Amino acid sequence: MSLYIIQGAFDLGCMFGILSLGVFISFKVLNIPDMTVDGSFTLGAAISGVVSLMGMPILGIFGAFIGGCIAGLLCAFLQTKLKIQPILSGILMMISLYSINLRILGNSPSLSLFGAETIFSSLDRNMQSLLILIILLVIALFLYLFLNTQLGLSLRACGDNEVMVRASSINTDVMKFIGLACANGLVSTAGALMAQYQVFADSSSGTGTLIIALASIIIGETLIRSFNLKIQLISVIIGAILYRFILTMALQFGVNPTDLKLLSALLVIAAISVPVLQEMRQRHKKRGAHRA
Amino acid sequence: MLELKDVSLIFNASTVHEKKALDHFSLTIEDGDFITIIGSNGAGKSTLLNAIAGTLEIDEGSIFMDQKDITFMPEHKRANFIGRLFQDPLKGTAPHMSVEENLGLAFCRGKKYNPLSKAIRKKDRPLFKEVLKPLELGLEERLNTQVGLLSGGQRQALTLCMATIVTPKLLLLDEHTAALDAKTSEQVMNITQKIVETHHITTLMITHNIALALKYGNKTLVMNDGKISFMLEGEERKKMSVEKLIQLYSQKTDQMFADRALL
Repeated sequence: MSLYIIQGAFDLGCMFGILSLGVFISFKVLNIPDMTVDGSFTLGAAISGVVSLMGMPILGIFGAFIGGCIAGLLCAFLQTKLKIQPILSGILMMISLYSINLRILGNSPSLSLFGAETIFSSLDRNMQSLLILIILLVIALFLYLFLNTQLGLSLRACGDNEVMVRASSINTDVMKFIGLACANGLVSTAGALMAQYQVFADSSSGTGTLIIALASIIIGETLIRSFNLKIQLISVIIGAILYRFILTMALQFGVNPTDLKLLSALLVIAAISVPVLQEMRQRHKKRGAHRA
Repeated sequence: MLELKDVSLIFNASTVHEKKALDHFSLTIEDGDFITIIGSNGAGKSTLLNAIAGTLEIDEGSIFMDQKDITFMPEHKRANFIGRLFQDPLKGTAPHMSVEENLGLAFCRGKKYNPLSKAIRKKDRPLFKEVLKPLELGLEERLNTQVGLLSGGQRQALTLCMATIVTPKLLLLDEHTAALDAKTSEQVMNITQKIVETHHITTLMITHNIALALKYGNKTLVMNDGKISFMLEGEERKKMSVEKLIQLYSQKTDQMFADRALL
């Protein structure tokens, strides 16, 4: 692997990191499998692409964040006020966003930012990597501080034990609004960065976003197990970067790029099922010993 | 302080499974009362607490708290002045958070803090230790332990601390010791008694154990079919024994106490 490829993998890994921190909020903190992210990732890419073409790349990133937040709020509205199941709410949001994203992209499946000004266009290669890393670390720091505030603590408790939270004067619906808004805002930001980095916004780029994030979270968790929040956040970031390296390696070994999504899904299945399989094997062994 | 006026709550209304869990139920609770509630399964005891806490919205009647109508106040707002414990010790605490974080969460109840202020401040820690100490479970030395690693009894005791760290106007206990072993159950009951007495908290406690119902509190409410069967207080209650109560119950309701095995 050349240094060039390693650096590319690192950059993408850091962007996966932002994405995974977003999904960490919905999936781990709130305990909601939120499929909206598949749509909000593309939403971020689309908004950032279009605004960059107008010559305002930084505004594009912030616009993407706000767009993602709104998507999250709508999803929370479906779940809490209209009582639609979380999974279905997410799928509905994802499908609606598909059409909306195409509209933002001007009814074409993709948008080239070639020649447009992006936040990366005036930086040299190493500075680009540094910028992405800094953005990731700043987001992680803010997330850490946020989750340790009164509000953040309520948010975590809401995912951990909703019955208790309602009995302790916290409005769980409000928590879901806030949590899903933050989660999708971050995912959308990752999409926005990705579009500007790759000089390309694509209406199908968000497919499998949730799986990418889950794989990152699970890889991180397998490596570093802790209930300490700080370490959990670090493990998510490490998991995301590592996951991107695994994908890059797979590509280097000649895996077809179109097979990557399948590979990701298999990875998630394997990571989740390993403990179950281990337990099965142990039980089998125990029975064997019992018979002997 | 709490007044229920002609409250009805019907499950599956206008179907064959219609069940009047509370049937024109009226009750006035005085400040400082510790009322124990007994009655067979399906008598409406838990429904009563759920209606007071706001988990279930009542179909008829009204509920007043200190002369204020709270009939349609949402559950999380009522939680500002109502503390609550469930039978399941796992329900009252967040397992993946530390003892300190759980207490911190309970501590902000009913207070107007800036939501973005730090959740656990250093100056709160001595107070957390102080409320945990009387439990005599050594939890004050384990502030950073994950709550999921504690035993059921420890978790229930912690829940009790959380429900009372900001003194509530009303404490609702729904068989909060029923899932614990005999020794732990007694321990948690003693802690309950201690906390309720120290802070003069008005309390409603459901129990299946008639002896407990007579031992603790100042009044005993016997429920049947969503109604008050009879209420014991004062001298009559002091003289009451478990056997006599069962006899009285059978006379009043023409049925045997369904939970005799539990005595």
